[in-house]
Amino acid sequence: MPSPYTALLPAVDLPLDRVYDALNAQGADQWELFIKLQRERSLELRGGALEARSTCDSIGVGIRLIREGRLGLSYLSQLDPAAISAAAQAAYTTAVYNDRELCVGFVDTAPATQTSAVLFDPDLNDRRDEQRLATARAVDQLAKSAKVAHREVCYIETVTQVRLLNSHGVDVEKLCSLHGLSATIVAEGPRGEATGWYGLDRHRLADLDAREIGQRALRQARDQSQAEPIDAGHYVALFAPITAAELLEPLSALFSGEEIAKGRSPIGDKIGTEIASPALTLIDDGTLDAGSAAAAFDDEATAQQRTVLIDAGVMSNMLLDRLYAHRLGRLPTGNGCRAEHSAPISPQATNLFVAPGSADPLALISDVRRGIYITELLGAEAIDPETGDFSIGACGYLLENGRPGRAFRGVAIVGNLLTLMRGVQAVGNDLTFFGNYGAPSIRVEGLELIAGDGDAG
Amino acid sequence: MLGRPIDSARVLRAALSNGGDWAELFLEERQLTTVFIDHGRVESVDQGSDAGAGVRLVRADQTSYGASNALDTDNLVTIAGGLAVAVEAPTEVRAATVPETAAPSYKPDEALAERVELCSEIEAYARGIDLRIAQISVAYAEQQRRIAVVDSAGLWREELQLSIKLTVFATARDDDDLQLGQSLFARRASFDRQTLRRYGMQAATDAVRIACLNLDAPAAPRGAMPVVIAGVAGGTMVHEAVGHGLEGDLVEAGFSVYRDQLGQRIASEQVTLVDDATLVGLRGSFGIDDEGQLAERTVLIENGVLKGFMHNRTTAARAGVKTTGNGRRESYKHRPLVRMSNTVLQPGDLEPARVLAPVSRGLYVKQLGAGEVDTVSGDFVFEVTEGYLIENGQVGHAVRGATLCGNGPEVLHKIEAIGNDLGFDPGTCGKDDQLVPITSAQPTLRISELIVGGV
Repeated sequence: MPSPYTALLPAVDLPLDRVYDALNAQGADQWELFIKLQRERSLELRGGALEARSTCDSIGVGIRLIREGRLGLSYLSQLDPAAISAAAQAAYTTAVYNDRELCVGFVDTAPATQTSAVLFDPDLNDRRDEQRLATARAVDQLAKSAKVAHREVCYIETVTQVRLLNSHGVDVEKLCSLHGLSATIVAEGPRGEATGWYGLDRHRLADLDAREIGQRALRQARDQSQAEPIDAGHYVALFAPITAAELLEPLSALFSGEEIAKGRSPIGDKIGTEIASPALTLIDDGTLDAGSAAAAFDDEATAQQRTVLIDAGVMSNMLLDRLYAHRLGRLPTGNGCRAEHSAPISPQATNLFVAPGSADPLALISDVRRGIYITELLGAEAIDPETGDFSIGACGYLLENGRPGRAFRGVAIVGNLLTLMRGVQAVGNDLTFFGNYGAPSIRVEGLELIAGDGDAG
Repeated sequence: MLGRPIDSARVLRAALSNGGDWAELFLEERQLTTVFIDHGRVESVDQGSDAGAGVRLVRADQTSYGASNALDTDNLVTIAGGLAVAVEAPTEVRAATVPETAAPSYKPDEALAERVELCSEIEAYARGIDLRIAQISVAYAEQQRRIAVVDSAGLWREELQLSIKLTVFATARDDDDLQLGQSLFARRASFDRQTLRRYGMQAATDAVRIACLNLDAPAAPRGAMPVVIAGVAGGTMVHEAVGHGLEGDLVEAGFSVYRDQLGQRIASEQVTLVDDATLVGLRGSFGIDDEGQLAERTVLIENGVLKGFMHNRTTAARAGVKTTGNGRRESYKHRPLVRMSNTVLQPGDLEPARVLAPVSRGLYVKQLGAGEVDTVSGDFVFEVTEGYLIENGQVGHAVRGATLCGNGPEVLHKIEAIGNDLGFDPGTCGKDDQLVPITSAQPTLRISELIVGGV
């Protein structure tokens, strides 16, 4: 099907009739074909000079089929009918081993496919390499400074088209573009060298703020190169949006319908009860353009939607795909995602964010006499998804008399995500998305900090 | 590879049509089979394939890369032509034609049945070990990866790399308390029922032990204290805290704390660290790297002195040294970076018990979980998944929720004793969004002081 963006994706020829024949010949009760076409272009600047550029065209095909009530899965990287037929045969072979209880039929009604115009950058059709380079250079210029020893800027542009077809006649398509821009800065200071990183992803290039990225990375590196250790203890803490958003990924696992159904989430039976401070509202919104996971439908063709997970402290819902919605007797929430075309569907967050408040972030700390402002975390992926316990590295600034003061580093913060949610005192008005996770500045009380340099308490 | 033969010379000539130092064509095809059993159910058995090619053009300090799944000469010539941006004279090309290879052959019913049966047996065994086990998951993955590398100077090498990985996850429950344990077996090998059964059962025993231990365990102590890392814990800490900083690309970019320290003493005298891709059958082993260079054993630190960095072709050329065969990529979609293979901290001569003996109070680490390092400062943090208190030189009761925070360069100087054992930890290492299989190994070692955090 010719469209204005065909030139932005790998050139493919999909002989649908022959593919249908191949899939129907397999003898499966139902089948589904997931086709992902992607073109990724990237540039890397090092010290201002172009170090690498690359283009990657990829085709991913996932086949799911149902054989006597059991699901079979296979995948490949070709759109050739003979290869698809062989993979379908492989999927058919695997189906007999898979548990009957873990199979629900494919969708029989097509979701609305109207994708928000915001998800695809119309300027891409005329985008030239010079513009990509100019964008990266703009970040690099801002990051230049006397104290900067090294700097690296990455620009990544991705155009992705997903088409989902099944034996019920559903044939839907979604398209989106994503632009990622990031800077890594190394600054020299009295306490040695330190790195600063900052990066954002936006559907449209025009929505990326080069100034913000360059300056934030620079400030982080420069201030961290002068950072000093601080004393262990309990502090009032302000999480910057980037660090608050980083905690949402491990937090999302607690809301997964799959983890809940398998009894692996500590909040599995907490719907309707208070699990967080009334200041906290947590929302998964697959329709929100600002997040990178925005789309009309998820990877099994359920319409994406807005799902409030925590409403002013009270747990109100969970993340569900078709299978776990069925198993838990609830409705799917449009969270059926596959990490890759080769991966099975599982419930995952789309755009998960903490609803912003109305206060300016500085106003949140005006009464803090002694606290910490956390601008970087190290090791957040090690947070235990079954309990929410964490003990991770942190950097940032001391808060003194209502203002950020000197920088600190080399400390660990310890606690539990559930306890942390109860300790939320206020949220700021500065909601920022980093990929598909978004958060405003968040103030919590009583965060425990373990200091380095042997002075731990 | 798939389908028609590829005229590599045409592809590489197109890449070099506007000049450049050299160009390379990388071809890859993979076949995977996975089995996942969770909570007593066979949740997914699947098999699939992936194939593609990457063309790389290297010109002075610049690399251009293009990748695609469409494995035909014309398409690859178009991609190569897109890379040609320089204005120098064309470069001479000598390159072989890559012969065609067969289409993927998926596993037949009997082969799948054998794997599913084995995973189910391991799952059932694990569930029966302890009454407090609430759930067991077993994940098995088997991969066949064939790569070929052709370059404009006439290099042509190919290799078939087989790997298997079996992970057991255990969840133990006691009233409201849930604890997780996991253990894995991973090798460069093909499926062998006997071997996999033996090591799979061992992984099950370990995962169950860890989950149950942590149920009973009090929280780890916090603060600065001596830490003994057992050989069986493997060398994840060394990999993260030191290894990454010795990767030539990070050194070149200025992102390594060790970059100006070649020839200098950076560790206590007992420390000798090598990266060795030639060790047979380990998860990080290979015959050729993803640039077609032969695998090597590279001494990084010898008796505490920094001897060299790991390199790929481009970083080696710019540093004026030979590549060390550490050019690796996750797949044809990526250009090669500098990556570790099997990183081994060499054993010393002390019995492990004697490494522990002088510690009056400290932490004994038997399994490490995830970790992360800031290579510029060397600061790292690790999760301890199996830890015990050390009291008066003896391993005492288990403690849970510990993390280790420290600084790589400082820790290297704080290694005071090294055991005569050696433990291997197979893993998967991530860098710039590329995952590659690795192994890290170390003997039992004592670090005079680390910050132990705990939940």
